[in-house]
Amino acid sequence: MEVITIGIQALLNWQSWVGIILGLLMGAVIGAIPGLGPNTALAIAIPLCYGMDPLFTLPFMMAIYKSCTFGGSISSITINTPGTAANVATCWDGYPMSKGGRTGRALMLSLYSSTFGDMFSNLVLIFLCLPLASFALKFGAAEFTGIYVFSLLITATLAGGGSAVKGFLSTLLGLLFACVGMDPVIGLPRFDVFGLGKFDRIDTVAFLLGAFALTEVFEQTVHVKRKEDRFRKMTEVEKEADRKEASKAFRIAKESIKNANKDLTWRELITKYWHVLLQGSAVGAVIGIIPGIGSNVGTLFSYALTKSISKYPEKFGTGIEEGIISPEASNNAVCGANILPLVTLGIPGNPIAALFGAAMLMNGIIVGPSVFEKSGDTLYGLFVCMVIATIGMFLVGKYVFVRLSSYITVVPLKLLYPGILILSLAGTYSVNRRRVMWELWCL
Amino acid sequence: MKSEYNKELSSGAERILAGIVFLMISAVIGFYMIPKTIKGSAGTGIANNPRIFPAIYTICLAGASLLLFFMGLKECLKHKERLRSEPIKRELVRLFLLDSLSLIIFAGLSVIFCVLAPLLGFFFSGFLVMAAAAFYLGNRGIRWVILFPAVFMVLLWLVFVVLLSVRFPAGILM
Repeated sequence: MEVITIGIQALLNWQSWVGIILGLLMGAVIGAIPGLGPNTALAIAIPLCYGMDPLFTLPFMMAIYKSCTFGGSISSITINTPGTAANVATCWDGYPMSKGGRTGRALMLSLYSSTFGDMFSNLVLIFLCLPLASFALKFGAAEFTGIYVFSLLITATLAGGGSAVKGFLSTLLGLLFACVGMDPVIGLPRFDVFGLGKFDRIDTVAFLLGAFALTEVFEQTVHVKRKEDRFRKMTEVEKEADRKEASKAFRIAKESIKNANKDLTWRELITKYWHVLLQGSAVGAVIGIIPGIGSNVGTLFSYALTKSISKYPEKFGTGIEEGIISPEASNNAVCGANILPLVTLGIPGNPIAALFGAAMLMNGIIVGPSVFEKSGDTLYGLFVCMVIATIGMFLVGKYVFVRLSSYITVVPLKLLYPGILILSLAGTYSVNRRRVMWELWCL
Repeated sequence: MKSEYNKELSSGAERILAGIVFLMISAVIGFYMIPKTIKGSAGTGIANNPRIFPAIYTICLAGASLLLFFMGLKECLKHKERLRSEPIKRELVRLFLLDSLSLIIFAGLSVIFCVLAPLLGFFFSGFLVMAAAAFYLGNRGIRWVILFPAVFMVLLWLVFVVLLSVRFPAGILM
């Protein structure tokens, strides 16, 4: 009852609504741009939330995350380029459907299944959060040490992309970076070079922006530059053919999307594919809860599972509808679930949860088992806003983004990345309360 | 950066290189940074020594680097004959160098920004860096190289300075 009352109070707060709407729009746009995922979107969003109300910040960031994960499927389906790593599997059946002139249907399947997975994940978070936090309140130092060691080990095992040694090296480097600054026990400076030692630690936001936003910009510029060089080497005739091809793809996508709204109904989807929806959502939610695993693993696992239990596995990859429903339900089901270990145990399971943790800390919310005692009202408000954000994602997706999705082919990437570079630098400086340039050097 | 040449070049060589780099990093941290930049024990007992955790992590880092190095070496020896018979193509090396150049230029632009911002001002330096990045990525013409970065910086100023009241280093220009 208390949850409902506080939730309604949150809904009466205009800042929450502004946060949700802005987040949905920003997330879908960023997610749809190839190469930019929720990590970059959230890293850019944190500085914009500085000094704002927590009931603006948290719904804003949650809406970005949800919408970004769906937005990533737009470019997967229309141009065979996953918007985010979590949308790789969507390309396999989404693009063949698009090539077959069914872009609208593919986008609608993606939107409906994303909404289903997202709502499933919200419910998992809402119903598991409080019992888990109450249970975690009984934990002592030994239990917490065990949990932290377990999460570090699982992160090291999974972060190396198949090589446990590489993951272990990354984890150790992370631990060494965490040592920079004042020793928390004795108060003596550690790694005191260029005055670094006198600070508490390296600023989390600067570190996260550097690790996620800038690395993605650097990586994507390599692709943009390579594409540009290839284009420059073409003859005039080849350039003209390339332009014609792009404009033809744009026209076909636009035509197919025109009547997309009438292509699918909830009734049709649930009666025909309820088992795929449930299986994808359950896989996503379970994988979301485990620290160290993200949406991309959940999506691939869900796709493989659906394929293996299907009566016609040979059709996967040719433009089959289950090939879109399963990964899309799964990647959005990770969204709420991976906040669960962060909120209840204080363990950020993946980079996105770490960014959420930074945003919560910025608003004075200290995550961990006692979070409900100290900041329960904000969290209950966030839960209600998450449900609203899911409904909003569906409406905005259906009436705005699916219609505009054909324009993804004309996004000027070579102008976008220099802009993100500057935005990341400005963002780091603005969040840094000490206002010294060394945070930028850390970035 | 997964690209065509990664498939061609032996992953063993990559591991050897990464192992050496990490080993050098751990040597610098272990033999120079920890003794020079962290003060020794503040009392008796392990808990009073601020060097203890950085030292443990550095030893583990060195161990893992050695492991990676030997794993790479083992892999290279396994594919020795194949690597000899299939020399690395010149085009792949060119592509690798081009990609590395792009990374170096963008990382260099970030460093230049950090140097220029306190001198010339945050927004003017941002404009210069953005214009240079846009030019490098193949944008040509005043509209894209000058006008777009200028409009972008004005928008940034409106959001951060006017709306969020953030104070950036002004420098001599702004």
